Amino acid sequence: MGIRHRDSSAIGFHDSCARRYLSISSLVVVMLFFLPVFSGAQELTIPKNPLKGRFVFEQKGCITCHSIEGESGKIGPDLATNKYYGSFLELASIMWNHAPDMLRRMRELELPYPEFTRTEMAELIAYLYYLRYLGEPGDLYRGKMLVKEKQCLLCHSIAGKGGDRAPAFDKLAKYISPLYMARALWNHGPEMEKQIKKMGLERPMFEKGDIVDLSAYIREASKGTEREQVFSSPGNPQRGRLVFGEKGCLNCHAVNGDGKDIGPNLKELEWDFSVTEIAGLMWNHGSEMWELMQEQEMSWPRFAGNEMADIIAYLYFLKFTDDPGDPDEGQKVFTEKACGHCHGADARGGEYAPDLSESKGLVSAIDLVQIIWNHAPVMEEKITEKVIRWPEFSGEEMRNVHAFLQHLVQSP
Amino acid sequence: MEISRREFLRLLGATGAGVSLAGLGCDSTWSVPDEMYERVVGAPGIETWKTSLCTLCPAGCGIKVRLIDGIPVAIGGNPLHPVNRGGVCPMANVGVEALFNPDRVTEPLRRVGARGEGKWEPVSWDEAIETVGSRLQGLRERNETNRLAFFTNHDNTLRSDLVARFMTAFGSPNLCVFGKNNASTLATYLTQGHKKPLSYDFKNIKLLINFGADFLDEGPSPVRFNQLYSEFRNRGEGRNVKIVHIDSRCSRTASISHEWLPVKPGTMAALALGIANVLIKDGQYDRGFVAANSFGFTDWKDRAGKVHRGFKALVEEDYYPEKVARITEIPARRIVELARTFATVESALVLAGGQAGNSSNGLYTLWAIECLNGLKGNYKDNGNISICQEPPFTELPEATMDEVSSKGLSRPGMTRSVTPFCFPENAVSLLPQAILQQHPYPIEVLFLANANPVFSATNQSDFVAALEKIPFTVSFNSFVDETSLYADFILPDHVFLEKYEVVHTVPTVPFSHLGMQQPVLEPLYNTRNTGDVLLQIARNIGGTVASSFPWPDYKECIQFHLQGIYERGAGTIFSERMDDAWLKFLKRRGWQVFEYSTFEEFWQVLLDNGGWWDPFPAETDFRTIFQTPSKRFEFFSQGLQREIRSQIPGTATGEEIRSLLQKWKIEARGDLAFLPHYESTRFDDSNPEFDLHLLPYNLITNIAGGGCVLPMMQELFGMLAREYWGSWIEFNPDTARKHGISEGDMVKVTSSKGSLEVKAKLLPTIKPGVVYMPVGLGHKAYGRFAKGIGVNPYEIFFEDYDSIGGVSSLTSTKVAVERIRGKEQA
Repeated sequence: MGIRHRDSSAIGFHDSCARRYLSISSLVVVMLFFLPVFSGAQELTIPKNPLKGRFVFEQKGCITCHSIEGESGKIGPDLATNKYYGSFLELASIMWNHAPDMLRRMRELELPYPEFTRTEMAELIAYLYYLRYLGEPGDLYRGKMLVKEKQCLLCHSIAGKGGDRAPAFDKLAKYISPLYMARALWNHGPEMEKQIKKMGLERPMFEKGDIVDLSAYIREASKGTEREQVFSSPGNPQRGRLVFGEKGCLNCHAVNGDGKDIGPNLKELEWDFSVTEIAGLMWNHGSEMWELMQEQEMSWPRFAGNEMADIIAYLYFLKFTDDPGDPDEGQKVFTEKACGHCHGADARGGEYAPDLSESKGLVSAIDLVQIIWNHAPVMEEKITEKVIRWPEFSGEEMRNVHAFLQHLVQSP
Repeated sequence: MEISRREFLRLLGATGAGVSLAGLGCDSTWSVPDEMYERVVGAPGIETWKTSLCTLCPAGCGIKVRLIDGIPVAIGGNPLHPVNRGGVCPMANVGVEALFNPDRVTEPLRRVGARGEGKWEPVSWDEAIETVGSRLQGLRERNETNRLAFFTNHDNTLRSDLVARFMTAFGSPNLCVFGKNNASTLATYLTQGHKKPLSYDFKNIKLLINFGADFLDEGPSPVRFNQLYSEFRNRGEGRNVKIVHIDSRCSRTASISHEWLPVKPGTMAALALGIANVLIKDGQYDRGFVAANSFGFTDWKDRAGKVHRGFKALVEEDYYPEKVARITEIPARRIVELARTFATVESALVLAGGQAGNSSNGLYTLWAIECLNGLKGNYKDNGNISICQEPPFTELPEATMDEVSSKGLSRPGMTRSVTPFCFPENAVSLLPQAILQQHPYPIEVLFLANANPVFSATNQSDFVAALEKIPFTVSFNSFVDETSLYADFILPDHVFLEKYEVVHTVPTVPFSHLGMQQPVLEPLYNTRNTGDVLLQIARNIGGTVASSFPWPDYKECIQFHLQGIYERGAGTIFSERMDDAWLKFLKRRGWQVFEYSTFEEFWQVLLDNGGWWDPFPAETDFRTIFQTPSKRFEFFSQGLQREIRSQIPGTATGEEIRSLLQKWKIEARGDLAFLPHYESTRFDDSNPEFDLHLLPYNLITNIAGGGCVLPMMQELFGMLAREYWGSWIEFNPDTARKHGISEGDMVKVTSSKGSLEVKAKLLPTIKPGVVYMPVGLGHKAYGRFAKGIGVNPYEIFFEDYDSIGGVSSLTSTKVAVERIRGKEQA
């Protein structure tokens, strides 16, 4: 599982764009000409509530053109939640690359161009990043098949049918979020492991949408036995980081330099899955983990309330902030895109553009993205005037150019 | 001290900014405590806003209160509240006047003069509560808990639930809620089998026929309906809603409708059935719905094989347009046109209110009108009409009751003992009879909260006599109103800006919701939230009464209720407007909109944003909506049949049923009594000189009576009529001419109950033969802005009741008018 969609063309933002390449010099000339006065850079951190960006998405009119799973605007591409769009700068590069096409459509429709504050930009990108986490609704027919395939009813029962060695599934019917089922699975992992071994069964593994589909089927099959509906809070990555520490995860796993290396370094793993897919991955390695924990005489970490949603949100956001780029590679991009044409070969000022080493605003990723976005219309006007192409960046290129600019600013 | 309009305007003009009034010696308009004035002097003028809820009327609009240095100075709407969506009515706009009203009761009071005299002395809260508690304890010791009565007004607050729980735990069946079970509730009961408020989804409607409901000036939420009516007319070409208004006065609601049909008072049932006649004859009704989901449309056989008449036969035979035209004074051609428009528009809804239900034939009228929705099949799954869904509060365990409480509660309620009506809980106006007759037992203690029958009942003098008879009365009002004048103690409630409260499930709103009220400042005076006082009284009584209320204060009681919503995570706290598609997206995946890990976080966001709602109502089916004996929409009411039979011991004979119908003054006999039909309204025909119908109406400046303590509302009361700080009576110019009356003349209006002197207004938007008076003025108490201003029409209203439900008939009054003096002398 887990085919990644690092290629920005996965969402087709620039499919219809004319493949014009732009001299970066013109871009930067215009960009720096309009640089606002900076009161200090805003550092990118993991958000508390990534859904806040939804308000930005609606208020700034993104919703007029873009839908989420077919609902709302049909002008721009649909932002389906079964895709992972990448880190902050990867998402920013997708947004940047689609700007000329978007500007053209907005002019046709007489729509105002959305400008963002730094906070709004950070919230919007965090929201878009978070969509994948929220997952898909379950497929109850597939869920029914899975119940049979995984032999769940040997131990559990549903609507009076099945075994009585484990709690009846009907109790889960009121939980609309499938994460409740994932949490129940996780919390009872060791007991379930024992029972499975005792019965000589194979441990069930959960992949892709298994948990969501199972949960959908359980809700449907138990219909009528439970009228109450319980929903769940989407995870809070900041709180998830605290839970991660409280549950002793750092006793085995390393993250960003903290923790031990008994288990894998979590920063090195891919987390571009939905919350229940990640819960499934956690479950799948639970057996191995339990053995290791017993060796270390550790107790099994159980989740209460919203802790599982929070901790998974934290893991999911481990890839949100970008790894530092390579300034040397960035300089190469700078040269390849002919930035030096305006800024000078060493980026310290040229015929048409100022000295980039004096632009403090380029230090923070948020500021960089906000500045270039807000001035895109003016830049577009200039490059159209000069008949040159819009510069497109891959996420990697964006990271490296950012690193080069940071290096430039910090080492005048 | 009373205040004149001239005085008010002088003070207002002299200042402009309210807070500075005290400093300028204007205490007669706003009473700002010295401590607060000191705070203002030299303060930095820091502006803050707090979210809360207005409860000056039961609609409970979300508000944003502007504070300067912590002092509330202005109120606007909370744009996040999905019911009022940022709008407020004029009352809420000047709601701070209630806070600073100089005639508020500022501390607990004990009566020292004669009842009604209005002489009081201060008393401490401890002493007052102890005295009340010992009175109640006495009732418990004597096993007479049923001798406690509680008069309150219907609102949509959690406090209403607390009061009901208090009465149950204490052991009294005498909770009398004015305005709760009105004729609309009973019409719902007859057709749909429950008494819950209905919700209406206006999203897809194309035609609205309104029988008399002045939604823009009266409840359930004038602000919401002002917005809705505006939206109806401005949806865009081809999507606008056509509105037809039927009433004998062109109210504000009628005036912004596309058409006004001036119907003769008391004849709306005939008009509704006339429309039904055309629909049925044309075969233009929802045959599928009627066949599968209704009962009694066609003739039917009971278990004994007896054939009963159905609605179809009745309407076809008795309500052909020409006959209906003679009854209603609406031309037959217009009836047919309206019926055919109603039939052919895909989504058409009928609503009713006002005089439709306030008549001696009010229940039959509303029933007939509701049958139009039945013919149209407006109850389809997720259709226009459904039951208002309550928020998923924590379910309270039943109030615990000991032997004393159980015994008290098992005694018959006072209304049941005196009422001649089928549904005794509605006949609250007849309470004085029971109290005066002490039948079946005397009332010894009376609690009053917001109810003011001495002002608003048509039998005010009976209420006064009853209040004089009750040995011990406690009022929880913030002002000394006409009824509180007869209390022994006044335990003053905070005003709405000083307290916690929850308003939920406002009728007609199509989604589950609750609004949060929170104090925007510390209470100005030594007042207490009535919820807290009731909890304290319960604790003092002890035993099972105390254990039924385990919360230390009312705020915690509210939090206990809200815990259920927090735990389920259903719906969402009010938020900036979000696209429905997004909310559905989250809901399908089991996510709630906000994230909070503790109840404290949830509570704080709830207070900050003003409430909670579930924009997507749970799916309903006919089994949920129709709870009648047939589990269908009943054109022929088996429910009414059952109620009547339950009042006759043994197997009811035809003769016994006839005698009961006669007692209720119902003209119909046989099956007709159980079908919606037109019965002529009973009018006061005691004097042939009474040649005009007198009808009341409400204004948005005084919804539910709350405006009388707000000087600006008194100023605006007659703004549209250009009559200030005084009452008036409205005539059609033809009617006026026949009576020799000109614009501005002072006239004497005489009914069999008494007479009033008011100024005449001539308006072509009144049906000839009918005169209208606004209600809300003419107080004899309630502070300087209310007392002595204008006249109270209720004083001369003829006393009659709806034949079945016992709701006061406000359309039965006939009057004579006589010019006293001309405009110049007036």
